[in-house]
Amino acid sequence: MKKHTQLSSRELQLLSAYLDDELSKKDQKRVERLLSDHPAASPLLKKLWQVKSALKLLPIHKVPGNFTITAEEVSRSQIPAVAGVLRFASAVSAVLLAVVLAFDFIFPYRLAASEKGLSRSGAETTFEEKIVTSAEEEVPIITWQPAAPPAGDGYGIGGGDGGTGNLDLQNEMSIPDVLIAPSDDQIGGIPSVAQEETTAENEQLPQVVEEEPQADGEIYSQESKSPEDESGTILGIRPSESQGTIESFDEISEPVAEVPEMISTRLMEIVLAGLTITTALLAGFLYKRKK
Amino acid sequence: MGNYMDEAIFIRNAKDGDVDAFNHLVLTYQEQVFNLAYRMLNDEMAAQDATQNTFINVFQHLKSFRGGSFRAWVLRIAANNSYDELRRKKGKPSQPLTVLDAETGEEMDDPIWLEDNRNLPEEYIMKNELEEAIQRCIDQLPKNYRAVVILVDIQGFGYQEASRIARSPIGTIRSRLARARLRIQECLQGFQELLPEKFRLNLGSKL
Repeated sequence: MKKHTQLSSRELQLLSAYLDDELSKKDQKRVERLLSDHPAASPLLKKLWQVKSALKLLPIHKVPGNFTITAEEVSRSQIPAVAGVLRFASAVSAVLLAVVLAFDFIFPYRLAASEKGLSRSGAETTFEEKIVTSAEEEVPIITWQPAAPPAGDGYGIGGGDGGTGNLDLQNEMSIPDVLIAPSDDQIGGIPSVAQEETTAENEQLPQVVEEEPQADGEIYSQESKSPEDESGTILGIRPSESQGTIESFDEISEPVAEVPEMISTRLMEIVLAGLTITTALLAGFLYKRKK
Repeated sequence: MGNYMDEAIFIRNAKDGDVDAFNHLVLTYQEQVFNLAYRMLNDEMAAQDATQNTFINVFQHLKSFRGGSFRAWVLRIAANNSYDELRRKKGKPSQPLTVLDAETGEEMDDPIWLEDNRNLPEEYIMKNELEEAIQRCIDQLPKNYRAVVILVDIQGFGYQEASRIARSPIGTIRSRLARARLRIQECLQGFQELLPEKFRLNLGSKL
């Protein structure tokens, strides 16, 4: 005989089904064993039997009248066909919306890329694409080739040596002044020893010189460069003729189609969401009215 | 066999839009449908609405009936209509009918003109009270349990047919029925005096 008094949920189900004679032979034997072994099984079976018997006492009610239907009743309660169409349209637009949203959120890059491919020819590239493309290319080595003046001949604006023109060349060279760069005119008149030295170095490293760095945001004209310029082009230093002028960045603002594409995707999502809600509400209204 | 053949013919004709043929089916099943709805809802008017809606729905969707037990199909629709009616009732709780005493102005618990049992035999009164007590216990069950108890213990369906009506596996029917019976037993503890001697539930639950 089992020590514990608690019956499991499974045992309760078996006892209940035993009352209804809805058990297999194997389960019937199991219940009979349970009834002889478990002290709580027999009282529980009795309680279940009492409930079943009490429920059987409930009378079957006679119908208050016949529920036969007429053709008018059927046609009156007929839900218009348009409700079915609306329900179908709602389901279709909901599925489409889910697909668009899934692509938009799970594969945002792929979607954007495919849209770009569809909407733009290969010749048209945006500024952002240029950045991506140039970043993928091999990064050129940029050499700093200062057109250093001879010792004692300072150049540039300021100087910080009290206006004597004597520069601390060592310190001056360590800080490449990109924003205030020497113009060709300023350098050209002075035969620069440093420039000659650099040229010699460049001969030893031809690959460095040949690969002239091209700034992505290059805004000055390549045509304006003189042959001498090519050996000393420094990223960010504008050629002399363009120095002192302010150039508008409008020139690089090529047609960027990103915003219209984003709008078209969002617009599609909004339209689909609106369609889903509207059709679902209309169909629901028609069904409710008929009920 | 003959009845089954007749039923198949009525169903086929009703599918073609024959309302008279369909009404033969209505007359066959209206009592079962009404009693299922009545026990589910414990409200005669709501049960009548649910029954009428059931037969209209059955006629409208008859083309989607693919064979098998027609009774189980009809009762499934009836159970679903009863669930809808229950939801509606839950949303709009009905105002209980209260009667004020003309002399004291207080609410009368049992207005004598509403239910005068003085001339009725005691047995009849006891039977009514017992039915009310059991129905109250059924009302406290979750709707899925309620449907299974009504189908098996009140309407006398087997587990197989109950599972077809409720669209649930037999294991689920067995489990719901056992739990529902246990809950009703606990509920009926409060109505011991109404139960006949042999149904007195004087044993505490061990589960």
